[in-house]
Amino acid sequence: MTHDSSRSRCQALADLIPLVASGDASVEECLQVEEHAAACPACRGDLDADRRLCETARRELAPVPPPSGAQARAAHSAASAFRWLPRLAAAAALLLAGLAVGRWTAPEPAAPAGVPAARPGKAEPPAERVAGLARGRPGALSVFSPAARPYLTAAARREAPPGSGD
Amino acid sequence: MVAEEDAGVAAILAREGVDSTEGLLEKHRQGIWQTAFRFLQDADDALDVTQEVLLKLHQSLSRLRPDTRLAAWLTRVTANASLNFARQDRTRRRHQQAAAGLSPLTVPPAAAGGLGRALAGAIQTLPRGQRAVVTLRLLEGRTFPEIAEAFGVAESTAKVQFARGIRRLRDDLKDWME
Repeated sequence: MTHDSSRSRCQALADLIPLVASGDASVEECLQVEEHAAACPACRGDLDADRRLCETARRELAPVPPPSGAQARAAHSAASAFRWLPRLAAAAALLLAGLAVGRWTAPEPAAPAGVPAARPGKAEPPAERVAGLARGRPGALSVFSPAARPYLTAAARREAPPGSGD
Repeated sequence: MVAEEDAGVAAILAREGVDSTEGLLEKHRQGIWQTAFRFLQDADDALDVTQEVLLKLHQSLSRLRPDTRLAAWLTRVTANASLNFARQDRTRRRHQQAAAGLSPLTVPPAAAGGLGRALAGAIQTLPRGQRAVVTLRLLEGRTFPEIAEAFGVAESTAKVQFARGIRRLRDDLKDWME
């Protein structure tokens, strides 16, 4: 075998040697590499080095230490914390709905001169919260909440083009 | 849209054998932590990544296709989150070294204490794709079909990445193996 053909054989098998070392090559590929390595000290050295690296990685780096008590508790609470997200969201919606109802039933303050009075018996909810309903902004009442439905009409009226009427 | 999303989530939960999102998170929590640890070799860093991945899973669940193979999805998300964490950590350490007037040193073999420790450090310097495949194959024990599915590449591509990674480690650590 000439030097050039031997070197080209080394190059052809260069990406196979790591797979043989890690146990991921086919039987045929293993035979090709072993046969060549028997006659090529450089590739024999590479194969031995790769085997040593793979064994070291599996023996020393793969094992996972048992988490400390604090780490285990923190990891468990990380998973459990998400249980509260839907409940927090529902509680926030109820709170906002309650605030809105409270505003709705509160006595109307006297309007300054020149400002049109609100409809008797109803206090308009804050415009930004109502607008947020339509656009689904975070912090706004959910448009699917029963408490929010009466406000949709007010939001639509407020955002309707001028002169379009109801 | 809401009904479709709920149906999708229900299908995923059913396939995973759990009856709630909380159960799903709990089922995968430890596996995520183990994968992150093998990438980062640090328990606390792995915990940070675990929290990030669990949050992403919780947020993404309703948007995943009902036929999503969650194991492959989690492998990819955890690997990417770990690699991103490692990159930010390297940047932070580099800034700290620069601020302290230090320069990165090549630790001589005699001082560093073992091929295993040197190997752990060398894996962290691999290019992103090689590091992911080497870590998942050698440390996690994932098969090449699993790795290929997780990253949406051909199995042959994953094997080439692995081989190139091992060759690079061999070159980096040749002083350790003489």
